[in-house]
This record gives sequence, structure tokens and C-alpha cells, in this order.
Amino acid sequence: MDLENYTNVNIFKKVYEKREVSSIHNVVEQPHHLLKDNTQHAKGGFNPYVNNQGTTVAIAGKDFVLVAADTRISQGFNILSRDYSRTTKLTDQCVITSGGMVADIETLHKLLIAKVKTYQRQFKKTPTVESLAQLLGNTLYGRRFMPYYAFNLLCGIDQNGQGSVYGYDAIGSWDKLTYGVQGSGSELGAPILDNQFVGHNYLVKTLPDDVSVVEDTGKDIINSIAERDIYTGDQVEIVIVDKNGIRVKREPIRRD
Amino acid sequence: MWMGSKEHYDRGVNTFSPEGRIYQIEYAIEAIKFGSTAIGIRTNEGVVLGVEKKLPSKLMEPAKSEKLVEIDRHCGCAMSGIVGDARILVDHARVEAQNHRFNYAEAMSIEQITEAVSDLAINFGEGYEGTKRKPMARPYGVALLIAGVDDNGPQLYQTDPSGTFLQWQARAIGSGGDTAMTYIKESYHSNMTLAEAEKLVMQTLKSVMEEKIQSDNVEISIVRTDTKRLETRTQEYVNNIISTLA
Amino acid sequence: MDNENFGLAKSFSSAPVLSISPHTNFSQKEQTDIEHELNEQVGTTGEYVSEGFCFKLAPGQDQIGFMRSLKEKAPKLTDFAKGTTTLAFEFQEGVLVAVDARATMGAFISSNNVRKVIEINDFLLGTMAGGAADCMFWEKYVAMQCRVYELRNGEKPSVAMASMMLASIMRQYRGQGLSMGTMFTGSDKTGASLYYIDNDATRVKGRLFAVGSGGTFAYGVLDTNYRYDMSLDEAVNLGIRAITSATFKDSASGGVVRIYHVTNHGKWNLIHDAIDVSELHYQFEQNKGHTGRGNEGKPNKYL
Repeated sequence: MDLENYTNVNIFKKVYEKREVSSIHNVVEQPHHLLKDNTQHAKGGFNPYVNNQGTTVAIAGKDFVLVAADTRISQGFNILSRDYSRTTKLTDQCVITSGGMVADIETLHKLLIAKVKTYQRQFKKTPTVESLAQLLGNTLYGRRFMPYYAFNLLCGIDQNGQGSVYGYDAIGSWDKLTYGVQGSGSELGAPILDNQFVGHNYLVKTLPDDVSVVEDTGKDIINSIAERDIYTGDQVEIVIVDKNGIRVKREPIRRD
Repeated sequence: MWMGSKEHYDRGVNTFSPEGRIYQIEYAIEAIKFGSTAIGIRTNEGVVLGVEKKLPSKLMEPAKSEKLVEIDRHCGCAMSGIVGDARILVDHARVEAQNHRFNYAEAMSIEQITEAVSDLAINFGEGYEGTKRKPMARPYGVALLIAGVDDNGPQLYQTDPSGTFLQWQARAIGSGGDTAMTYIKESYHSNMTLAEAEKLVMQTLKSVMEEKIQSDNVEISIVRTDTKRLETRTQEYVNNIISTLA
Repeated sequence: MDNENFGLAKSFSSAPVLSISPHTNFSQKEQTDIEHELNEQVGTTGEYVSEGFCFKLAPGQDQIGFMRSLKEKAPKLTDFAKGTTTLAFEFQEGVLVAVDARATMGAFISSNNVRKVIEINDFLLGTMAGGAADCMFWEKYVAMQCRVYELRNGEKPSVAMASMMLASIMRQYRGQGLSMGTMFTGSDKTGASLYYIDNDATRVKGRLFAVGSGGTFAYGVLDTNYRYDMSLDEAVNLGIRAITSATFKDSASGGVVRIYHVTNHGKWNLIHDAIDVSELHYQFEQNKGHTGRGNEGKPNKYL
């Protein structure tokens, strides 16, 4: 007698296999909401997101704003790129820097550049950082139901000549900060920033005035994060925005 | 015989005459000349808008702010022509101005507000297939004076039914418009103070109005350069100016 | 860029006149709009069109499932400010609003200085609990609608109307994954009033609310000491006390206390912008004759 056909295990196995196959067909043929096991489907269903990690730090000064970011792009434990710039110039006085999913970051930055150009053509002036802050918030919220997987800092010189940093969550809630950190190393970077610019995000709102000190601190912070975060490393990209425009520097850090 | 006769060409709003004219737009511009007079003067200290409020009967209640309205807190609008048409344009301008604040956290420039109004003003006719809302079937029979202060300082614009908009130092529209323009041209100079401009507006209104000028049949508003806020002058203030007029 | 083009900023072609009038006024909308609104259906083009906004949706038909599974698909994406203590109560001199300032992502404190009171305009305030972006965006939107209403009608809308606008928006997006629990307060011709609105489109007028993870602790202090005939000083102190107690017991709340007072005369005032709660805790304990370290009356086992 063929025992195989009578063992419960194999019966279950066959049913299981059959259901697997038919469930694939279900996905193709039936509208998704008819599937009973919604969560099961969701795991294998439409998933546009992948986190490419990376860390970015922004610090506002009296008449400048500094961005320090790493340049590593990862997918899981694989490193995809070692010289990716996560900071984009929007106007002469404003840059955006982001951590998260590279595809969404690129899309968002390109979209913002286009919006800035449209604004310049339509209103015959360059948008202020305050305007861009609001615009970015609304742009992110416009994708409330399929968010950009990007965590942004908008940095620029405001109308009074002061440096300003605006921090965002993925769906467009924002606040004005004096310094901010986003991306995979944000948990590591935040305490260092709190310590180095003590009280700055708290009740005292004095801004640092020496750009070289802030630049060194920014580099140190990214370097320190690279020591402890596998997704941060390779190079540190320093972007300084002041009244003369935007300067970019790069320095190598740990590449392991 | 039919060549050049406008009777064939003034029916549709989407047909040029052989001379290259669209008569309905020209007729709409004519409609403004029946409207009450509205005057705007730009000075370095701010912009003044003044309107005449026609009261055809003694029994009519003088309505408040019917022809001199707020678009946003930095921008006012005076009108002449079909007031009902103006209400649609003004409402559009208000919505656009607030949208701009919502999107960019800043006040909309006066030029942009004017452009938004003109865009709607020229959007008449049959509309496209699939357009959700039908546009106005005829041109808007109204001219607007849009005045305010933005980053570029005090500004005064005028729109008309053809969708054209022009910037002016001083402008008068409506039934007494031409007379008023000649009058203003004599007295206007670029270093006027706001008080002088207010007085000039009232003086001009007085000279072109058929009725006797009173505090309840004229109205003036100003937007100051320093505050960038629209202020409507009270009846007492208007009375004080009237008493000083020649 | 078409999909991003909401807010109707540009020209008449995308912004038909009256298109963003308060949607309570159905007569200005076309029949299709109304049907659309009633059915709460997602557009066939992959965009959620409502209120004049065009929200980009995930492809496929299971939008709600997509939103639900975001947490697994994109870690950190939906981890925005969750823990909170916000409270507001009516008393004889208006409404007092008190909030903490902590934003957490899991166990990580992303900020201790968040502004959880949204200054909607000069007579309306909204508190923030749940998704910060949802609160910020829609309360700003309501502010815009209030301003348009004011320009059209020559007077400010009532708090009842403004809160109804927000509640109606929440009803339109119900089940779509918005997260909001707000105390909506303001001052109009009838004086100050207070509403609680959340993402299920609940809208309740009331005297005393506390919202968020620390809300239960705040209720304890509030219910014990609340009287309608309090003076402003007493109310401010009660607000500070309730928030401090909540931040003491609820680790998801903390930072600083902010106090706002909505008067009965069409305005609100910022009373305290930032009082450090950790200082307050020690101060309150010392007022009782304690050190604040919590070891009073305990035998020290190391002695």
C-alpha cells in the first residue's frame, strides 16, 4: 500500500502546495480587496520601499548653515555606492539634504528643483527659505497616501541673514530647528549634537558664529557615527551655505 | 455689403471681424464707461483707492464696501462696470491669494494677483470639451484697479475685459474716467505724500461726480508702504477731507 | 509633476472659481463632486481627488492595505510623534490650553521642544496629537478656509463652523489612515469654546479634555482641582501642574510645558512658551518639603 497517500502530513502538504499556487493566481486575477488574508498579501504585495540608509547633519550658524553628510548607499549589507551626494542645491541660499530611499530622494530633489524654477519664472524672484520650507511640507504631504521614503533637512540663509534648518518627517510635518540630524545615524548623532551645541535646541537659542569650529564638529560627528553605524561611512561631504553662496568639500573617512 | 459690417461679427465671442476685432470684448470695455468712477493713485508712501458710490434713489441704503473690497490684507481692489462680474473675479483673486499663502507662506505679489484675475477674465467662451466647469459665456464687463504693497513696493494695476493688465502711477476708470485722468495728470507728481494723494482722489471725484460729494457716496482705502496693510478710511475721515476741498 | 500639483496655486485652469469653498456648501459643487464625496471612493486614476487636492495613491486597488502595511514595508516611515500629553479646559475666563513638547520615535526622543499647539490664526488654536503632519496640514488648510470665509462674508467664522470644517475633512478621509486627535479651540462672538476632533470624525464640544498617552494622568490632576470659576492664574497653575504630573508618570511625554489662554474676546495669548518640566518637578516636591528624589520616609538600607 502506498503509505504516502494516507499520511496526514502529506495530505496537508499537498493541500498547502495547492493553496500556494492558487493564491498566486488569486493575486493576479482577483481584485486585492477580495483576498481574505489581507496582511499575508500585504507582505508580498506592492512594496515600493527600500531603505538605502545614510546620515546627514545640519547645523545653523549666525550667518551660515553647514551640512555634513556621509556618501554611502546601502541595500541590506551590500554597499551600492561610496560617493553619493545626498545634498542638492535648490537656490543660491538654500540646500536640501536627505536620508532614506535613494529613488525617492532623487525624485523629491528633482521635483523641488523644478518647483523652484517654476516659482522663479512665475513670480520673477527667488523663493526664500521660509517659502521653500512650507512648499516642501506641502509637497511631502501631497504624497500622504504613498509617502516619499525620505527624511529631509532644509537648510538655508533666511531673510535676516541668519542660518536656519528645517526638519521634516516623511509625510511633511516640519519645525524650525537650530540643528538637526536625519537618517540611519540620527539616534547616534543627536546626543553628540545636543552635547556640542548644548541647549541650542532647547530653551537657549544662540547660534554658533565660527564656521571653522562648526565644520570640524560636523566632520567629527559623521566620523563618530561611521565608527558605530554600518550604513554610514566612506566620505564626509561638507556643504556650507553663506551669503557668498554654496561651497562643497569632501573628505575620506572609514570605508569598511 | 456684408464685408466689414459688424453686425455679422458681434454675435459670437470667438469670431474675429475681417478688420481683426472681437467686438464683444470692445463692447465689454464700453460697459465700463457706464460704471461709477474709481480712482487709484500710487505714491511712495502707499497707494490710495477711491470710488464713487452711485445712489440712484434716496430710498436706497448706501451699501458698505460694495465697490472697494479687500483681496488680501496687503491688497485692495476698486471696480467699475458690472459689479456682479467683478464679484466672480474678486473671489477668484482672494482664493488665489490665500492659496499662495498656503503654499509659500508669503503674501502674493500684486502683479501675480492681477495676472490671476486677468487669466480668468480672458477665460470666456464655449470652453473645451471635457472641461468640468463651463467658463463665462461672455467677457466680464468690468475693469478693476488692483492696488497694494509687496516686496517691490506700492503698486497699482488695472485690468480690463480683454485680459490686458497695465501698471499705472495714477489711473481713473468708469464714467468719469477720461475727465478724471486729465485732472489727475495736472496735479500728480511722483513725490506726493499719501495725504496729498487722498486729497487729490477726493478732489477728482468731486469734479467728476454728478451728485454732491458726501461721506456716504464716496469711499477710500489705502495701503501704506510701511505697514503693508489695507485700511478703509472712516466716514469722519472722509468728511474731514471733503471739508478741506476747494 | 501633475500629481504633485495640488493646492491649486497656479492659474484658473487648475483652480476653477469657488472650487475650494468650504465643502459644507454643496450648492457650489457639481453633482459628480457630491456623489464622489458621498461614496468616499478613490478615483480611478490613482489619485484621491477631494477638497481640490490631488493625493497620489499607490497603484492597485488595495490602498488601505497598503497604508496598513507601511510599517513593515518602510520602517521609521510612520514613526512620528505618538506619545503626548495635551489638555484644554473651559473656565470662566475662556479656555486654557497646556501641552508638553516631547516627540518620540519608538524609544528615541526625537525632540523635547516640539510645538504641539498650532497657531491656526489669531483666534483659533489646535493641539497636536497623533500624526503631526496630519494635524499641521489640515489645520493650516482650515486656517486658509477661515480667511477666505472672512473675506467673502466680512466676518470671522464661528469656532463651531471652523471645527466642523476639520471634522468634515476627517470624515472624507476616514479609514484612509490619517491619525489625528486634536483639541480645537478658539474665540468668537459667543466667547471661547472647545471641541475635540479626531480622525474618526468625532467632534465633541466639551469643557475639559486631555488627549494622548499621558492624558489619563492629566485627567487625575484636572478632575481633582478643576472648578469653572477659577481665575486665570489658578487655571495656568492647574495646567502646568497637570502636564508636569503627566510627564512625570508617562515617559512618552516630557520636555517643556507650553500654556496658551484663549480669551472670551476673540483672541488668544501665549502665557508660557517653555517651562522645563524637570525643574518644575523638583520645585513642586520642594514645596511639599521633599527633595524630589522620591526617597522621603524610606529607610536607607545602606546605612
